[in-house]
Amino acid sequence: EPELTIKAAHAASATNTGHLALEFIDEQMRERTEGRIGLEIFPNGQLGGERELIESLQLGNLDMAFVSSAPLGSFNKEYFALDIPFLFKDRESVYRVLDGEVGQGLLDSLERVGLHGVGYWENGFRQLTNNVKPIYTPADLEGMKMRTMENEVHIAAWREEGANPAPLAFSELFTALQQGTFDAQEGPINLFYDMKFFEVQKYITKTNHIYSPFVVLMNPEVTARMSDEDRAIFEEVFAESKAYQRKLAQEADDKAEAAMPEITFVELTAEQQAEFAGRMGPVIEMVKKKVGAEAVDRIMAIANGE
Amino acid sequence: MISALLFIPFLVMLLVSVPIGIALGLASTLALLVSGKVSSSYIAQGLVTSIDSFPLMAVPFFVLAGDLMGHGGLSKRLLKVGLVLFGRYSGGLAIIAVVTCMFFAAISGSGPATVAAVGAILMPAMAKGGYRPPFTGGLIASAGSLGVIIPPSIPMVIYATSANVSVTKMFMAGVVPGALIGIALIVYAWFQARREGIERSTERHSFNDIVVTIWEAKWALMVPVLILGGIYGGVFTPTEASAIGVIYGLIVGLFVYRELKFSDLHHIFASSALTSATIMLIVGAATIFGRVLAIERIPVMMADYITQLVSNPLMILILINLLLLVVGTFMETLAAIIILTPILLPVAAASGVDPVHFGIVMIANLAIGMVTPPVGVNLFVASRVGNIPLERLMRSAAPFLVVMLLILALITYVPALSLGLPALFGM
Amino acid sequence: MKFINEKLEETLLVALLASMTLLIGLQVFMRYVMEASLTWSEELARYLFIWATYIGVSYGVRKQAHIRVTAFSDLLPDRGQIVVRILIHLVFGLFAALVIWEGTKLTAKIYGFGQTSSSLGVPMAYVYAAPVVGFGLVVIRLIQHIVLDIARLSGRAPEAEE
Ligand code: NA
Ligand code: NA
Repeated sequence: EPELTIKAAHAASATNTGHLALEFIDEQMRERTEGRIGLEIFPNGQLGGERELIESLQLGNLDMAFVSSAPLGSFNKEYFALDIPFLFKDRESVYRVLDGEVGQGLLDSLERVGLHGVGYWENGFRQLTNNVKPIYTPADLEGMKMRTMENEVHIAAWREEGANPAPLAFSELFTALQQGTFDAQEGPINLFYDMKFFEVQKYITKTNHIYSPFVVLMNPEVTARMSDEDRAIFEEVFAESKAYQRKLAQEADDKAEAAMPEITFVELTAEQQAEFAGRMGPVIEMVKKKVGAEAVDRIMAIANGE
Repeated sequence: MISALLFIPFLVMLLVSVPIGIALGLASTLALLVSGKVSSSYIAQGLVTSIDSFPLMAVPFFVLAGDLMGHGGLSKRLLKVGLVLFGRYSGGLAIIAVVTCMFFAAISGSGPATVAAVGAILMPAMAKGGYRPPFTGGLIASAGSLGVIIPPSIPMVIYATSANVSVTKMFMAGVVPGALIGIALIVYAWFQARREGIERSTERHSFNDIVVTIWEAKWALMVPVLILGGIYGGVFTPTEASAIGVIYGLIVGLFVYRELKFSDLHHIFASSALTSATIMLIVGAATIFGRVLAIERIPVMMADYITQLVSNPLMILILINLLLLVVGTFMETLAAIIILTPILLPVAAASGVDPVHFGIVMIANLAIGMVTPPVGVNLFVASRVGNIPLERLMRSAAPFLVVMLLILALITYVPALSLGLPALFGM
Repeated sequence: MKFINEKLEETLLVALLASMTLLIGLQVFMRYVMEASLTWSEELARYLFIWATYIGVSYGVRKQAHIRVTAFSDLLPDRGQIVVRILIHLVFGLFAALVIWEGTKLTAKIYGFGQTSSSLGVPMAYVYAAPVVGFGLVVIRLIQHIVLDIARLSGRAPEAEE
C-alpha cells in the first residue's frame, strides 16, 4: 500500500484514453517514488457524473478527476471561452492556446473555486451527427431536433445554425436517437463509436466545431500534502501522460472512423465550414458578456496565430 | 469489516421497523465514518445528485396519471372492456395485468415506472374484481421487472456499452426471455386465481354489448395508443410520455367524462407526490449505499472471490447468478452493471459464454433483484401504490419470485433463447 | 400557524407536482409542435422534483407513510409498540440531524464556490438546500409525533393513528 493513495475518478469508460492515461500515471508514480504514491481509479461514473466529480474535488471527497470542459463553465465562467464554436482550426492552434499562458491562466483561475487545475488531455474535436441526410450547410440542418449538452453556449450556437436544439440526459440518448425523438447530436467521434450511436445514426459531418479537452483536476490539499520532490516527479509524469494520452486520443478517433464503414462521413469545404462559422457572431457576443470582451479577443487572436 | 458495518446495522434497523431509506442512509454514514475514505458530507451531496435524474421523474408522473385515470373514470371503463372480453376466464384480469406490464415494459425501460403506471390503474380495479391486493401487488411488482428485459431498456444500453456489444442485438436478445417470464407469470397467476376460486363472470355478452362497451371506453383506450404512438413516432421520450399521460388523464377526466372534480385534484396531487417521495428517499439512499460499496470495492472483492473459487463454466454461471441476485438486492441496477460487467464478463467469456447472452442473464438477474427483499424497489412501489403492508406483499410475491428464478435458470442454460432471435436477423 | 401545521407540505407538493407536469408538457409542445425547444424546462422540472422529494419526505413523516418492515414490531404489545415507535422517531431524527448539519455546510460551500446550474444559471446552492429544508421540517414532524406518543404512554392521549 502506498503512503499516499490518490483517489481518481472519471465518467468515461475503462477503455477510454483518459482512463489509460490515469493508469499510466499510477504505474509511473509507483515506480519513480518507490511505491510511496499511487492512484486508485474509479471509472464509469461510479462516483458520479462530471458535475458531481468536480463538486467532490471541491469538498475534499475525491483527489483527482478528469472532466470535459463543458461542465466547468458552471463552476468558473472563464471556461465558457473554450466553448466558442470554430475557435480552433487545427490541433496546432489548440496547443498554442491550451499549452500557453491562456491555458495556464484558466487552470490558475480554478484555485478561486477550490480546484487545482493540473493540465489538459484530449477528448477530441466535436462533430455533428444525424440520421436524416448528409449535412453540408446550416440550411441542411434547418429545424432538425438535435440533442446538445446542457450548456447554454452550445445550445445558443446550434440555434444560430438553424437546428432545434435541446438538452437530454446522456443515458436516454441512444433510445431517443433510435426512435427519432432526436435526429441529430454532436460529440467526439470516438465517443460516438464507444456509445454505439453508429447503430442509430447514419451521417457524420466533420465540422470540428469545438475542441473539447479533458481538464485534469485535483483537490488542492492533495498536492499540498506531497513533498517538493514528489511534486516535481508528479509534474514530470503528468507531462509525459499528456503526450501519451493525446497520441492515443487521436489514434482512437482514427480507429473509430475506420471501424464504422457503414457511416457516411461528410468532409466540409473551406466555404461550407465558413458558412457554419459565419453564423456564430451572436454566440461570440454571448461569451463576451460572460467572460469579458478582452479575454475573448485575446484567446481568438492566439488561436488564429496572430 | 466495512461490509459488516454496512450490512449488519442496516439489517438490524430494518428489522426494528426503521424506514428503509433511513436505515440505508445511516448504515452508509457509519461505514463512511469508519473507513474515512470519504467524509460524511458525501451523504448530503448524494441525496441530491442520486435523484437528479430525468428518467426517475417517470415515477411520480405515472403514479399521478394512474390516480387521475382512476378518479376520472378511465380505469373503470378499461376494466369493463377487460371484463366483457375476458371476464369469462378465470384469472382474466391477472392475465390482462401481465400483458399490460409487458406493454409498459416495452415503452418505459424502467421497472419501478412500470409498476407505478400499471399498479395505479389496475390494482384498485382488480381489488373490485375479487383479487386479494397482496396477490395483485406481487403479480404487478414481478411483471414490472419485465421493464428492463423487454426493450427498450436503459440497463441494456449501459450493458452494451460496457461490454462492447451491439445495443440493437441486446434489445433483440431480450425479447424471448422477457416473453417467457411474462408467459410463466401468466400461467402461475391463472393457476392461482383458479385455486383461490376468484369468481368468474357467468354473464354472456352479445356482440352488441361488446361493441358498446368498447365505444364507451374509447377515450380510455386511447391512452396506450397515445403513449406508444408518441414514443415510437418520435414525438416524446418515455419519461416525457409519463407527463403527457397526466395531462391526458386530466383533460379526459375533467372535461370528457366529467367524473373528476377540480376539488379532487388537490388530494390526488398531494398523495401522488407523497408516494413518489417515499420511493425516492429509498432510491436516493440506496444509490449512496451502492456508492459506498463501490468505494470500498466490495462487489469487486466478492466477484474476485467467486471467480477464483471454481473453473467449471456451469459452476461459474451458477455462482455469478447467486452473486448478481445478492448484488441486485442491495444495489441499484445501473451501478451494478457498470461495476460488475468489466469483472464478470471476462470470466464468463473465458469459459465460452457469449457476451450478449451473458448480458441478458445479468439483466434478468438484476431485474429479479427488484422484487427480492430487503431492498426491492418494485415491491416498495407496489406497496405504496396499492397501500399493502410490505411483509404481506413480500409473502405473496414469493411464489412469483420462484417462477421467475425457474425461467432465469432456463435462460442461463439455454443460450439459444437469447441468441436465437438476433441470429434469425443475421446478427 | 394552523395552515403551517396542517397544510404546508401538502400545498407545496401540489404546486411543485403541477408545475413539473406543465413544464414537461410545454417542453414537448415547444419541441414538437413549435419546433423551438425550450432549453431550461427539463432542468427546472428536475430541480422542482428534488424539492418535491424532500418536502414529501417530511409529509411522509406527518402521514407516517414511510416504507418499512413492521412484521416484528407488530408482534409487540401496544405499549411496546409505542416505545419502539419513539425509538424509531429518534433514529430518524438522528439521520435528519446529520443531513441538516452536513447539508448546511455543503450548501454554504457550494454557494461560496458560486457554482451555477447549466441552463438557468441559478446558484446550485438553491438545489442543495432541498434536503436541508425537507429534513428540517422532518424534525418538527418527528417532535410532534414523539410528544403525542409520550402522551399516549402516560394515558393522556387517545390511541388513534392517522
Ligand atoms: Na423496456
Ligand atoms: Na432486491
